[in-house]
Amino acid sequence: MKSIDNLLDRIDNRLNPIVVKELRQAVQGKFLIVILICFLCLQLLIMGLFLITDESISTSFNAGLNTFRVLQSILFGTCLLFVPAYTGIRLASERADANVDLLFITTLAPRSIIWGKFLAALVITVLLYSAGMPFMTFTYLLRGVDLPSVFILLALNFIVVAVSIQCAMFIGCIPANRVFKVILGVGWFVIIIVIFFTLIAITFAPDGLLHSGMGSQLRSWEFWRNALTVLVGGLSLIGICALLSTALISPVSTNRALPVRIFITAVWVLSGASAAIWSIDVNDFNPVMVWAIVNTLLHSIGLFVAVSERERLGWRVRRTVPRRWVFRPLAFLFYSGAGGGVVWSSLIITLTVLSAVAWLTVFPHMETGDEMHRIAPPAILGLYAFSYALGASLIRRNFLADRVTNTHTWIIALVLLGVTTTIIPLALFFVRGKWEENSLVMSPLGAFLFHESAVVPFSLVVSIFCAVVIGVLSLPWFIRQFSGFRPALETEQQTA
Amino acid sequence: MQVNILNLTKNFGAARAVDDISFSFSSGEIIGFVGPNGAGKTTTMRILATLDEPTSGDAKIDDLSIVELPEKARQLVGYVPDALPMHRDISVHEYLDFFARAYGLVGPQRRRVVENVEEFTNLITIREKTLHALSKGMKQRVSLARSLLHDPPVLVMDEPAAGLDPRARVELRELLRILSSQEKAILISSHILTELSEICDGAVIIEQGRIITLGTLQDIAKPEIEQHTVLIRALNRQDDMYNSLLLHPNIAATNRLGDQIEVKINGSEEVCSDLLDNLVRDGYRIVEFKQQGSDLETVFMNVTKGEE
Repeated sequence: MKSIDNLLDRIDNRLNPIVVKELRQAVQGKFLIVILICFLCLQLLIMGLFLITDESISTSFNAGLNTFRVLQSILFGTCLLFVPAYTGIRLASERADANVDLLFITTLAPRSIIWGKFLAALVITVLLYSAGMPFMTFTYLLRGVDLPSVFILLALNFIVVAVSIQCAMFIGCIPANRVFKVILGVGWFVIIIVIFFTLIAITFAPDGLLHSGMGSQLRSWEFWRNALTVLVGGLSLIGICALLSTALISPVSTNRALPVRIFITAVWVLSGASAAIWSIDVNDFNPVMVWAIVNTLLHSIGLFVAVSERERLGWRVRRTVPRRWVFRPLAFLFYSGAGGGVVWSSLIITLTVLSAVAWLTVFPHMETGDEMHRIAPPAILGLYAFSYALGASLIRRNFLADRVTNTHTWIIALVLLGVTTTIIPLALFFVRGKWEENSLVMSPLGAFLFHESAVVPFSLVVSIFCAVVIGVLSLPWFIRQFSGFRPALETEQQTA
Repeated sequence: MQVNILNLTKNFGAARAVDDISFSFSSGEIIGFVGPNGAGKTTTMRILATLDEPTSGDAKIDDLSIVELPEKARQLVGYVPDALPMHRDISVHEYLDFFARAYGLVGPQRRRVVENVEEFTNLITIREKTLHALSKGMKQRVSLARSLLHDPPVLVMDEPAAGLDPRARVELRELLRILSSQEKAILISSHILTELSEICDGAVIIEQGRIITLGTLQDIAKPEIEQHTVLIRALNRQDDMYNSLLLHPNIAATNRLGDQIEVKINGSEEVCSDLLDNLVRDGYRIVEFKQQGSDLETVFMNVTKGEE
């Protein structure tokens, strides 16, 4: 008995304090208990109704599948909606008062807070799963569904729920007012509903995942390739959201960007390699194209975020800047700071587009039609994002320095995007009296909407011109940023 | 243990919240940190608690810089913020146990520390109550208990007496006295200056981010020009006495307060003694001649402009 006590004590000591606190609060609160009881009652009711009312239950080969379909939808819906909402709302309300602040005066790291809350939410999900799985396993006895299908599908749902929890936590961490958070929450809810129905359709459609049972596919490479992609994709999203959340709750004085940029760079490399393997496997350019578009889009958003980072590093970050100058350019890219962030995002976008072009050059047989033409829109998007971000920074520094802080530079960038995407085309429409595709030449939207028309090369030329002009105008700012990137002691010695 | 705040400056954009302030306090001392709203008290305290980074300057606990080594400084500082714990569905004991875990305390040591702190702050009887069911005074005690879990030698308390009833204030004062006797260095901000006068060894008065005055209470209460305020009460000829005081060369101001006369005398205590002597010789039957001490509230009102 004593050894068991010792073991329990040891486990207790190693537990993340946040997990302990969150679970204590969850089991003492009404929310989880009510959800759990409702969930169990609903499953009992459905199972009972099927067994009592379905006359074909003893003869039909699909009775188990039909029951499983309903039970799985309820479990998935409950976990996908309530657990992330519960976790996200709690985190958002904690961010609204001083509780998160208080955690920073302990030895607890911000990442422990995020991972602790995430783990606690996963334990709640497992609790709901454990309440639902006996019913689902029972459907196997009713025929129509095999056990591997049940478990694989539940695992897939679990990954989606985990991603959704981390996304909800990320939204909860965003430092915004209540109205903006409600808007984000509604957006998240809509996305969750879309994901729910999409996955249900993929699973139960006539030619869906359960069409021939997943047990039969376990030996195929295609199944494992897809499974691995979902797993790696899910884990990457969880990792990115967790790191972004950690960065958001970390004190401004810390090097918040470093782990995020390292992880995103690793994901960029790994997802690029996966896309390349896919592309070779299916002998098609599309996987690389999808990778290029997704990465360009994400890093274009990243440019807006990066340009809003602080321009002067605090003492805590500067004291960790490498003393040897050879390492500084690399550190400059990954450390917190607007200049480094803009260079890092731009570099990733450039490398992404060049990789896609190189891929088609190395494997010319994949270019069956307009593939080269399809690379242009993401390139244009990247070039315009660069121009808007740096243009916004230029405007803020030169005209609005005393009114807009650098943390709000992204708003000016969004205004620029809005002007070129809506106001200029509308103005041209009223001037000309007719709609022309060229009206959207200053917006990245034009290249995506009319990717087969002549607007693409025109837009490419204009975007290159804009990027070069704004890049040259911003060169002194970049030089200032880089020359200011020095270890704290060195800067002080010079001042002295 | 000595806490030195050295040329601390903190800017928020173009606004300067704390402007080059320096002061120090050491173990066993309770220092009042006083100033109007927006003076920079909370910002300074947050910097001391490692929650904010100064724009320039530093704060050192002995030789340990809180800017350079915030992780180590956290082990030495207990911070009681002005916001009280708001966690739902968690009892006082669980809340303290959580923070004890967060400070890295494990096993029997953690249990012992939590129980000791609960006993010290008189929370034993309410340890199973949920936090949101507590009164403000109780929450304040929980907040203080939380800050003591890792036995920090330095305590930084932001408005701990705000909103407390008289009994809770007295209890808090007693706790602070005990903590001070345990050789803790305590920096405490409050708007209740009479409260601070009773427990503080010294005070730092700050306004618009700058230190206006600092020192022991006796030092800062001492005016630049030696002046004494005296309350005089006579049994007879009060009007005559008032008129004669108006003509006295060393008297800066006189004020009638019921049957008493408040007199501001320029000069040393000898001048006060001479005045009393003269009044008695002039036939006034003096029954009260009381020198008024200049308290923290008076000093605060005198030195600050009241601008936010």
